[in-house]
Amino acid sequence: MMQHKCIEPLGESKSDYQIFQEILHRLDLGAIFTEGCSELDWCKRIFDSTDLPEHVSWKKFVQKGYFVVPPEAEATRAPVSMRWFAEDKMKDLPEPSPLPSQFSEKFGKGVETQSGKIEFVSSSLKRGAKDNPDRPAMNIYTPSWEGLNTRELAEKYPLQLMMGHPRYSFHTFSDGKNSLINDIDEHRVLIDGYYYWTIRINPLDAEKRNIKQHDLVRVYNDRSAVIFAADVSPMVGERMIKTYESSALIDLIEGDGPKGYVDRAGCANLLTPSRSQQKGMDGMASNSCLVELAAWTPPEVFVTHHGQESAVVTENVA
Amino acid sequence: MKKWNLVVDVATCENCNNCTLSTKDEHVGNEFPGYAASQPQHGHQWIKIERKVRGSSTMVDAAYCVTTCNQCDNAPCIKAAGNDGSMYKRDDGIVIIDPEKAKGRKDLVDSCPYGAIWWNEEKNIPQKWIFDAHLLDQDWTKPRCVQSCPTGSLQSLCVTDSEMKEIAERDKLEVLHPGLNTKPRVYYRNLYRFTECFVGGTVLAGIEGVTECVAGAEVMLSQDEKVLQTNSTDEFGDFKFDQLKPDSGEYELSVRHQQFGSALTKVMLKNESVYIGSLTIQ
Repeated sequence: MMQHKCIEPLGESKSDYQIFQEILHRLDLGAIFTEGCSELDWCKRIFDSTDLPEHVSWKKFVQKGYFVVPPEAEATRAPVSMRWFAEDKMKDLPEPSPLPSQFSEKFGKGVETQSGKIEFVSSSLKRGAKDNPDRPAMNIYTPSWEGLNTRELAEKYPLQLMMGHPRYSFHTFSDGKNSLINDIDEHRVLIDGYYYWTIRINPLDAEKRNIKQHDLVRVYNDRSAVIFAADVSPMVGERMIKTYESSALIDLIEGDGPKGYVDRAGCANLLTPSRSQQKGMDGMASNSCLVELAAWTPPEVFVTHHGQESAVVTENVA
Repeated sequence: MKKWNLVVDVATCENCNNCTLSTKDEHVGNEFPGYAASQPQHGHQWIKIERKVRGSSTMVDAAYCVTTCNQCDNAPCIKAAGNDGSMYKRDDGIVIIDPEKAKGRKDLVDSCPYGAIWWNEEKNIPQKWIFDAHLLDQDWTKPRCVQSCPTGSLQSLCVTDSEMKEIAERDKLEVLHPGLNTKPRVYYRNLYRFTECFVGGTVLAGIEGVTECVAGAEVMLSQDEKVLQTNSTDEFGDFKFDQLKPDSGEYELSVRHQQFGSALTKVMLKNESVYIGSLTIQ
């Protein structure tokens, strides 16, 4: 793709290339960095470094703005994955990192495990993680250390919080920036001049706590407290509540939370454990999270956690 | 004379909101003189998706219904507008609010029984979805909401009224609130997912000392000793009878499986769908 300029740069905005160019000019390294080329020159150089010129001229490519790469010819396509292993042949697929140490026996023979076979009991974990009960060599069911079966904690915080990727924003991209998706009720709901993040609650759980559709709720545990707009429906099971991760905003105000404040922007990540799924690994355990919730009435004056007063209306609208 | 119609499939819409957002993209911050003034950044939903969730526990379905200006042929808003040219119907069926002449006409917002007209406080005008008439007049073949719909739930048809009548009859299309007699040009497929109910359940049996789901059990739904529908359970032992009228009273369910036995139960259908939970046969 070769995108054309849509508008003139606003204000003092510059491209990454311009920014680095100007910094390196100040370090007297500009010429080395640019090799005397403008941004467009670089596009041309990269174009020439590919086999694209065999298909389209530079002039035509720039004019059209894109080139659709045709599918690879049948004859030159890669063989079916793993067929070489099933038929006990040498690996005939491209090797992304061709290191001999990846194979136990001959290079390209057998899969890249210590036994060279598909392993139900991992031989590397058997040797290397002997002292880590979190990583058994064979997959077994491990009860959650923070789930509905963790008795004591579940008595205090009886709901399991589940989080998925947001549906209407791409992580934080296009949330919290006054974008049009604020008008989608399943993303954020406008209540008394503030766009609240939504959370799904089963009707039975909502009834117990006297919560109706689009009531504000305070979801809390020992870690934090976050305000959401309730979306009551059986689309989430009993004792589960479901929201999206990656609210782009955090808006801490004084309130009934474990640290003396609550977040009203919907940053559910404040509630989740920082512990990883397994000792010595870095898999997030964000769905191992117990909470309780209660109806929430906004205070008349919001005080930020820095002690400043802010009007009821809304930093996240503008 | 060919005219524009919109057909919405309630069963295949899955709430991506592309229609809402592409219409906002078209109209927020953009002026189309003679067609529509710009839509405010927030607050208006010229195309709005309503949600209906039915059932409970493990038998739940959600349906989404795209609602917008119905481009009615017998439009209450045009009647309310009078003859000052603030609202009119084009020859191709599209209803337009004149962004200049309709200044100050807040009354038009309330004239729409579907709530499809929005008030623009800043510009002091009523506004609504114009079927992207400004684009169709430049030879676009469909409005943006239809173009951006990934599931094909929205379909715009430019046909004569008699052709549309045939299509509506053939495909059993419905309009919203036909009793209002506004003659909408927006039609709905599978509207029962919004307006009607289901009765469902899960069939279990004790098989060799274990409680199992029973697949392939015959289930019969009857009322007043008349069999209304028959069905058989799926791999999970689930059955579902759909398209029942709300508040239609008491039904009888009878389940039978050649090998594992039978069961009989009654279910009262009020205004919401009922999942009876598990039913054990013996």
